[in-house]
Amino acid sequence: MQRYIVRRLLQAIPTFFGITIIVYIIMLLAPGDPVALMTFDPSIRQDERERLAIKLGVNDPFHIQYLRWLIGDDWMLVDSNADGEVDSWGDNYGILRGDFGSSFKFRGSNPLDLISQRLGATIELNIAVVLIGVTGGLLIGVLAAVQRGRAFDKSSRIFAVLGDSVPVFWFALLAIMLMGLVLPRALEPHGIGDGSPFLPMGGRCPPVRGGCPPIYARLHYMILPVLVSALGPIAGWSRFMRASMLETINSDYIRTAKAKGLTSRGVWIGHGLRNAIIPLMVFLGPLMFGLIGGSVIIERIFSWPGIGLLLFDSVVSRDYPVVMTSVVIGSILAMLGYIAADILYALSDPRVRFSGARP
Amino acid sequence: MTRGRSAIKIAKLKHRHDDRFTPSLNLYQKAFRRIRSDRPTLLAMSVLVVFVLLALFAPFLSETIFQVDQVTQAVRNKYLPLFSEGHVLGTDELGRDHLSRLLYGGRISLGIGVAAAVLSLGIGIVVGVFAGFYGGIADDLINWFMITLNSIPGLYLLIIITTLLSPAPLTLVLIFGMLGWTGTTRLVRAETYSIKEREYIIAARAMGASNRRIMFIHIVPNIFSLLIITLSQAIGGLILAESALSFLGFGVQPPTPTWGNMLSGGLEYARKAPHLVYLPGLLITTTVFCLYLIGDGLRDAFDPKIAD
Repeated sequence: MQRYIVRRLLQAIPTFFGITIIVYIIMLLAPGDPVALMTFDPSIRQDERERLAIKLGVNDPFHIQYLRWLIGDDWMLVDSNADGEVDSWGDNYGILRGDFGSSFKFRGSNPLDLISQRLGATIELNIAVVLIGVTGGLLIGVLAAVQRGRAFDKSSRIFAVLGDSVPVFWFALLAIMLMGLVLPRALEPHGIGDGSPFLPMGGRCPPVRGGCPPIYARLHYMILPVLVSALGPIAGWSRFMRASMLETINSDYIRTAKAKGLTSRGVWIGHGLRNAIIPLMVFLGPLMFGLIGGSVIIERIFSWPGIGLLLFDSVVSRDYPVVMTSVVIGSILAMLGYIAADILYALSDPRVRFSGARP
Repeated sequence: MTRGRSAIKIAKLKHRHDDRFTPSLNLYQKAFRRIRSDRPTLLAMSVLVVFVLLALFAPFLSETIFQVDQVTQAVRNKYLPLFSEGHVLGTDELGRDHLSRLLYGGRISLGIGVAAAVLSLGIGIVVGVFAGFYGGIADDLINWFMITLNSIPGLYLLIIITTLLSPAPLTLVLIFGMLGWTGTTRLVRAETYSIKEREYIIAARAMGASNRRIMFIHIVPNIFSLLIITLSQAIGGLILAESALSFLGFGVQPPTPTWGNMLSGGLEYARKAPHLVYLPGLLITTTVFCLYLIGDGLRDAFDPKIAD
C-alpha cells in the first residue's frame, strides 16, 4: 500500500510542472504587460519604466522568465539597475518556495495569504456538498435499484438527467427567488413568517466584525448553496449507484446469499451495497475536483467568500499574480482530490494495488 | 410482359417476407429499430428538431411572421410581460423583442455547442487513435498532457483563457474545441488499444494496408457508435458551459444574444420581468435535457446489455 501511495504521489510531479507551464504561458499572453500595470502612475519617467522592465525580466527569453517565476532568481545575478550588466542577486524566491509575487490590487499582500484566508470557506462548502451529494445519491440509487422498473425508478432516472441539464446558476436563482420572494409573500397572509426571506440569500455569515462565528451557528447560511450545488452530484451518484447495484445484485454470491435464506434487507444492504460502492470510489476524485471548478459559479451567486470568488474578482481587476496563484492552488487541490480518491479506491479494492493501473 | 412484372413483384414480396423473419441487420439497423420503439428518445429528438428548425429559420420567423426584429430598442416598451400586443414573449430591459432575441440566441448557442463538439470530437478522434495505435513515447506524452490539462479545473482554465481572447462566438468555439478533446481521446485511445489486436486488423495488415488506412478505415468506423453517443452529450455539456461562462461575464458579449448571456443579463431584472429569467433558462434546460436523453437512448440502442 505504501508503495502504491508513493508511486501515485511521484506521478503527480510531472503533472504539477505541466500545470505551471500551461498557466505561465496563458498569463504571459494576457493583455496589459506587468510593467504598464505597475507603473500606471503618469509621474513615473520612461527610464524608470525601462529599469523596472529589466528588473522584472520581461524581456528575457521564455524559459528564463518561467524559471525565475518557478524557482526564483536569488541564486542568479540579475541586472537590477539596468546598465546592461548583471550586478546583484535577485530577490525572488519563486513559487516552489511559496513566493507568488505580490497582489496588484491589495498592494503588497502575498497572494498565498489571500488564498489561505479564503480556502476554509471553499473547503467547508465542498465537504458539505460531497456529504449531501453522496448520501443523497446513494439513497436514491439504491432505492431505484430495489424498485427497479417501478414508478420511483423511472422518475429518479428522469430526475438524474434533469439534474445534469439544469444550468446551476439558473437553478440557484430560482431557489433564491422561491425562498426569498415567492414563498414568504405567499405565506405571509397565512401567518407564517413576516414576509422576509426564509433563508439567508448569500454570504457565509452575518456581517459582523472579527470573522464568522463557528460553523454550527451559521448552518442556515449553508442550506441554499449546499443544496443547489449538491443537485448535480446527487443526480450523478444516483445514476452510478443504481447501475452498480444492479450489476452487483446479479452476481453469483448474491444468489448464494439469497439461497441460504438471508432476509432481503441483509442481501441488499450487507452484500449488495457494500460491494456496489467500491467502483464508485473512482468518481470521488472527479466529484471533488468538479466542485472546485464549479465553485466559482456558486460562490459568485451566493457571495460565498471562497477561492472561486477570489479568482473571479482578480480576473475582473486583472490582478494577475492572484489569478495565477488561485489557478495553481486550485489545480493542486484538484490533483490531491484525484490522488485521495485513487488511494481510497486502492484501499477498498486490492486488485488495483497489485496491477498498478485502474481496471 | 405483365406476367414478368408480377413475377418480380412476388419476388420482392418474398424478399421482404424473408427479411422480416430472418433478420440479418447490421449494428446501425438494429439500433434504429430499438430507437423506433423508444418513446422518450423519440420525443427528445423531435423537440430538438423543432429547436434546430426554429434557430435555422430565425430571421424568417421573427421578421416575416412575427414582424419583429432583435435590435430595435424602444424605451417605452421596456419590460413588457408575456403575450403583449406585438411582442408575444414580451420585451427586455431595452425594449427589444424577447421572442426574436431568443430565436437568434438559439442560433448562436446551438451553433457554438454543435461546432465546438464536432471540433473537439475531431481532435479527440485523431489524437486518440494515434496514441492508442502507436503507443510508446507519443502515447505517454499525450497522456501526460491530458492529465495535466484535466487537473486544472475546467472553469478556471476557461475563465483565464477568455480574458486573453475576446470571446466572439467563433473564438469560443475554438477555445471549447481546444479544451474539450481529452474525454473523447481517452475513450478512443482505450478502444483503439483493444481493437488493434483483433483478427480483422491483422488481416488488413497482411493485405498490405498502411497504418493510416488501418486507423481511419478499419478502426474509426468501429467506434463510430460510441462517438455518436459522445457527440450528443458533448453538445449538451458545451451549451451549459457557454451559459456558465456568460453568467460570469466571460462569454459572448452583448448585444449579440445567446441563451447564456440573455439569462445572465435577465438576472438583474428578475423582479421587474421574471420572464427574462425563466424563458432562456427553460430553453437551455430543455435542450440539454433532450440531448442527454438522446445520448442515453443511443447508448441503450447500440448496446442493449447496458440497458439492464
